[in-house]
Amino acid sequence: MANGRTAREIKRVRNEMLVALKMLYPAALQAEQLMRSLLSLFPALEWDHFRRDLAYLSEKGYLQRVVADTESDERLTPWRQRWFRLTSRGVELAEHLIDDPALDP
Amino acid sequence: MTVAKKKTARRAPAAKRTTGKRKTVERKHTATQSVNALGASSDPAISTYRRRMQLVGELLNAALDELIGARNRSDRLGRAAYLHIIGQVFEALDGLSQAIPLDDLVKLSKIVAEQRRVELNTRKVDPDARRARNGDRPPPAESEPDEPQTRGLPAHFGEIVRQIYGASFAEDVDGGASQDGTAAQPATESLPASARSAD
Repeated sequence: MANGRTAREIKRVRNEMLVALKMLYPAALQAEQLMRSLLSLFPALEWDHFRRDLAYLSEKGYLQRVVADTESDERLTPWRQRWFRLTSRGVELAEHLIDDPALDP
Repeated sequence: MTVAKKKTARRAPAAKRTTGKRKTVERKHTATQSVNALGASSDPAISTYRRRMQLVGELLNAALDELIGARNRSDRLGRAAYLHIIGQVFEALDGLSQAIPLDDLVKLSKIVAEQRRVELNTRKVDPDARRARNGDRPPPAESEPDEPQTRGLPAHFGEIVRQIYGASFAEDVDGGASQDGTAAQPATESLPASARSAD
């Protein structure tokens, strides 16, 4: 277990994040809005875990951050107010066109 | 001399044990389907959620198609405004527009938890204060809950109170019984209506 979550739970949450953003693609969504939407599926989802998943998926290249022009310094924007959308690679993964063993069940 | 062959019932050929393997295969296949989050899901909650997100996405893209498609054009709205509109439409469609902000929710939870703690501490303190006020009058005995039953409260009411609030309905540290049972009344009044019997 990692930080109180099983591997299966981690993968489920990450996969549903990708699926939700795929449904909205190419639109972006704020992190807080995405999390509140996922709370209906995962009531025990914690913000810290969700934020780590966002960072992880971004580093893997499946998500990209969209910076609003009102963000004077993007580094100072709280994570909850940051916008994210799927990359083309994220879309391919969400559509099963490519595989990722770390996200496979 | 021929030996009579012992006649035995012919046994049916042993059935091939394929059910176990099939079950395993099916289980694996089913498990794959149920956890294959990026494909079809057998979990109804996940299926419902994905269907809603799909509809929200279709509506979003249909309503804001020009805005989304124009993101590379210079005459497009500022990116912040575009994102703000996207977010507001998403919240309205996903049913989040009535939701309490997370920060407020956290504050509310803390307030409710604190109030609960104060209530529990008050109930624990009250029996001592009541005993001190009553002086020599001993607290009501355990048999006291039977009296409320005669007034319409359920049986074992004291036990129910003890389980819910962690405090005795009738203080029985000294093991004595009250003379008139009136000491129990304040505890009843302080209990929420749901703990009392419905007449």
